[in-house]
Amino acid sequence: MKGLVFIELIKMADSALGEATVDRVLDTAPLKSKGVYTAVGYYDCAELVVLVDAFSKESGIARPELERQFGHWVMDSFASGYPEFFRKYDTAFGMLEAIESDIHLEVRKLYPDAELPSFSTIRHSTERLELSYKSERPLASFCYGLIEACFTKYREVASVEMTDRTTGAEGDAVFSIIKCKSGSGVQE
Amino acid sequence: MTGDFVSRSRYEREKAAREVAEKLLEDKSRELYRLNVELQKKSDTLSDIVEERTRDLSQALDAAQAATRAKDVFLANMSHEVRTPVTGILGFAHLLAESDLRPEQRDLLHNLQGSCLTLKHIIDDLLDLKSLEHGMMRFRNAPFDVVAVIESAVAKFQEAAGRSGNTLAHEAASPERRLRMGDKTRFEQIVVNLLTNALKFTKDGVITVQSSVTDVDVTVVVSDTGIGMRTEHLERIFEDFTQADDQISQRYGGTGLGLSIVSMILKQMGGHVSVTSEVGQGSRFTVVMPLAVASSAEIRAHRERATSHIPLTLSGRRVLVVEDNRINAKVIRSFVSKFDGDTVLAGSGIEALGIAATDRFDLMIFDINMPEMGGVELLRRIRQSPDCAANAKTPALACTANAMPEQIALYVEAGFSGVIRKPFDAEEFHAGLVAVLGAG
Repeated sequence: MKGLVFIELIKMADSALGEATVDRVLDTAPLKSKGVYTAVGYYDCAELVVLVDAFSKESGIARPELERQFGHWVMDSFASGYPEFFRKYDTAFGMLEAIESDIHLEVRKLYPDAELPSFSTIRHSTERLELSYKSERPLASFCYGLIEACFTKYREVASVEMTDRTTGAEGDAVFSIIKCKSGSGVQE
Repeated sequence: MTGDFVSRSRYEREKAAREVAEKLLEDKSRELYRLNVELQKKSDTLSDIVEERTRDLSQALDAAQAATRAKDVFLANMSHEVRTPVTGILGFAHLLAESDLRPEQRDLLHNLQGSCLTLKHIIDDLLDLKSLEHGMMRFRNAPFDVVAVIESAVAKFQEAAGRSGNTLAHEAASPERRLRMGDKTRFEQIVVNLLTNALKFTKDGVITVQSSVTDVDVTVVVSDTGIGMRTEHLERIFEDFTQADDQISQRYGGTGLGLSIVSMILKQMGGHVSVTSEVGQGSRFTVVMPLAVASSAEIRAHRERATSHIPLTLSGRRVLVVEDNRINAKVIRSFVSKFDGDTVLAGSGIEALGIAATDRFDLMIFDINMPEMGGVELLRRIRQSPDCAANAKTPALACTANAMPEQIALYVEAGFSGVIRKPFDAEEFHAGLVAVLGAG
């Protein structure tokens, strides 16, 4: 997994738990990398799971909720790092529908070795979208947080219902999304 | 630990991360360098390939241009070689037709003239095509009666139509006969080519010419009940030397130039031609030409110009004719006599120089291609030599089978006042004289 994700997780943990707690976790957790991450490196995804579990214990927040919060955190980070991607689409539905065809295409240009999850969408109506998530990593709740944050970015309100079909190590979930209120474009 | 310091373990991790990042950066830099070198090699190779391809294309272009020039030279030579004997045949046939003949002899002569004219038209088509291709065809702009031209063309084809069991008729949409401004000859050529085409592919059927007019254009529709064409052939029939399929030429004859010329003339006139056809049912060609109604001022101006040229006589005038082909020399002398002129004949440029030094002429008619001294060189010498001062300003006509547009332009530039294109008939010979001598 791309080191950038680890860096963002540590940043979030730093801000929530404090550096001392995070350092302790990194010093004691069974990490092959010894907690040495760079944004441009690649690391075993299992280490991310170890860290999420450890931060969950330290914070008392259940792992799915922590993953969801991390989804929000990462979405904010993406939005400030790559605002042009968000400006290309008028609505959260537009953004979510473009992940596979547009955004992943650009990501692969930058990082040809990136292992990306797959997203497929079905637009049932102007207000209802179904998004299927499949990944080699069990991060459905992280994906849930990303989706929710996307609607916040576009100042829209939506109800997102996740059906987690994950069994074993691979992520598999379907999100049924109903837009309740249209927004006024992406937040700058 | 205060907010200004980090723990030792964090410091060590950050330091290790920085080293890893630096190594990654170094590796990436090396990889980029390597890729850049490869790209440079490919770029160099690509430059070589582009250079080689450009060289190949340039050679191919040179070869194609050389082939085109060779084709033009061949066409010019062939045109000259065919026109020279046809001049003799047509000239004598014309003169023979003016003598007393028995009806059966006149009929035989008529057939001879018809065959010769067909040959002349084929050569003219080739020349027209070349002129049109090079944008060198000049279009006259004079008032003419569209309906009269169509009816005259239809009348000429009646006999041939009857022989092949066809009925041929012209239907005008309205009785309007206002004169139109345009090139009568080219308009007639379009109608004739379409009729030739219809007649060629129709047997025991009906050929109809329909015409309609507006203030600014004329539409002519030539339809037949002939063999028709398949849809896939329709787009190709206006291309040079193309017929609907290869067997057409064998079964029906023709060069495949007629429709191409129609299309090109119309294109240069700002008109267009379209065709619909069905196999076994016939074809329908529609041409639309921008031929605006002539104003009374235009008609008046043209009438004044036209009447100033006619009639013409060479009575009392002496004409120096220089022609190495004895048969054609006789033909030219006969035509000069027809206009009551006196001919002095020279068989070569050298002989003509001698005659021009001792005699004064009212008109000189020179062949162009002659051994030892051609017509252009002969004219230059006569114009410049003090010995020939008496003829320094005598008008000169080129009478030549070199009929390519660029050749004619060269002769005019060399000082000839006009050109008579071989083969010629009495009307064309008269037009040549009028161009040089004017009225009377």
